[in-house]
Amino acid sequence: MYNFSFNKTYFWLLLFTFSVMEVSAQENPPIPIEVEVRTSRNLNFGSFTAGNSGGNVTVSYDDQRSVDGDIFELNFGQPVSAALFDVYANPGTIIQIEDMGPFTLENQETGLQIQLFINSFSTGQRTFVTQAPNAQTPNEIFVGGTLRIPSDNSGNLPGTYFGNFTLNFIHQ
Amino acid sequence: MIKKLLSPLLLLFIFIFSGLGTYAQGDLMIMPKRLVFDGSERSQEINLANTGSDTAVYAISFVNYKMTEKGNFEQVEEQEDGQRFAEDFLRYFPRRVSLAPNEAQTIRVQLTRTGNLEQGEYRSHMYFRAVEEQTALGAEETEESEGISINIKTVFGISIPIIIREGESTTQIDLNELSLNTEGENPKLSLVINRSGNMSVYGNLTATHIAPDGTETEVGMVKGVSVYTPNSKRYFSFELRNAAEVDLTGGVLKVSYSEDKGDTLATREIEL
Repeated sequence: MYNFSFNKTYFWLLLFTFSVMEVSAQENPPIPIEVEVRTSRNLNFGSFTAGNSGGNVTVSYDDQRSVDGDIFELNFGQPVSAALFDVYANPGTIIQIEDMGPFTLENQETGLQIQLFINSFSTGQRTFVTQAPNAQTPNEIFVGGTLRIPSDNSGNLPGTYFGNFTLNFIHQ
Repeated sequence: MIKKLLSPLLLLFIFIFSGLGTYAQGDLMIMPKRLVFDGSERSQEINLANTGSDTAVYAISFVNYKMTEKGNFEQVEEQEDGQRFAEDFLRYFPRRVSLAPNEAQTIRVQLTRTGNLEQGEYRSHMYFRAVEEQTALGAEETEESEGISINIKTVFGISIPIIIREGESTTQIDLNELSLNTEGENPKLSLVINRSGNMSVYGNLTATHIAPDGTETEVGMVKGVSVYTPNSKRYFSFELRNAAEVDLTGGVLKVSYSEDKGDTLATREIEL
């Protein structure tokens, strides 16, 4: 005698089994491996005046400016700021900022040069471990530096100085 | 001093600015973060993507680093004893890419001259550097003639290691000199990773607290810790950021050094 209820039970059991197999056959997507750096803010030394003996202007990673020598701070114009880089990586990744520089900024008309040292990091040191909870959240790295204004009696100091500073992020 | 300041001949107004504040040069994403040729593949790919809002140009080259015992990298031009550069055995294309916003491109890296490879490991680092746009002379706005203006642009690069391995690995790893410092905001674990053999290692350090009742809690982890040839040791310390819930005055602290794919390279335990 044909037992329909028995078959029905088997039918549901079979359906359930296949549905489980269907679920378990789905693979997790691969975790993207990435390292990415974005420039959020550039280094800005603000405005100041320089006498003819030269001196240094320093902006620390926490946006604090200090001067020494024949330099006097002014409080107008561009706001003082450290550079800010957003580093995206998987949490707990070790990244090193390469020790480079000093960098030369040059007046293209007179050939006079001003040196830039990159020497202040919010990470405390050049090698740091990313702490952001995931690769989509930036690890903020603040970078400060020092401008060395040369002594100059020739009156040639005025002008526009151009230069780049290179920051290398080394992935192990 | 004030008089000196007021003298127009001595007074120089310096306005330091850094070009366009929103100039997003080099928003670069690189995948993967390292390349290893271990005999199974003759060529591999690296994906670059410009995640910024401006078109960016990148120059691609090789640089070589030595690693210090503290894990810092120092650029070198000549191979040190026991160090071998990989760049002579690698070919890659293209060497320069121009990427529009959100554009991606593949860099193909090929092994070459493999017949000349000796047993062991070769390493160089592929360096991706944003190329500074050249400004035509006179194109910049000039500041007031008495003053100085300084235009600083940030150029950055990222380097990733490319490693060639030939033959069987004879590398052995051992962890020792474990010490725990609980004085800071987070406890800090210091240790020495000892390496011997012909190849470098790369893996994750995991610190697990084992309570007297057997409860295990992962209290700290750092990914991507390497010890490169020819170095025989690396001093390393890391914060145990998840240790707030556990009592570090008792139990055991277990440190494991494991490869990405899960193989454990070395473990060491200290009684607390």
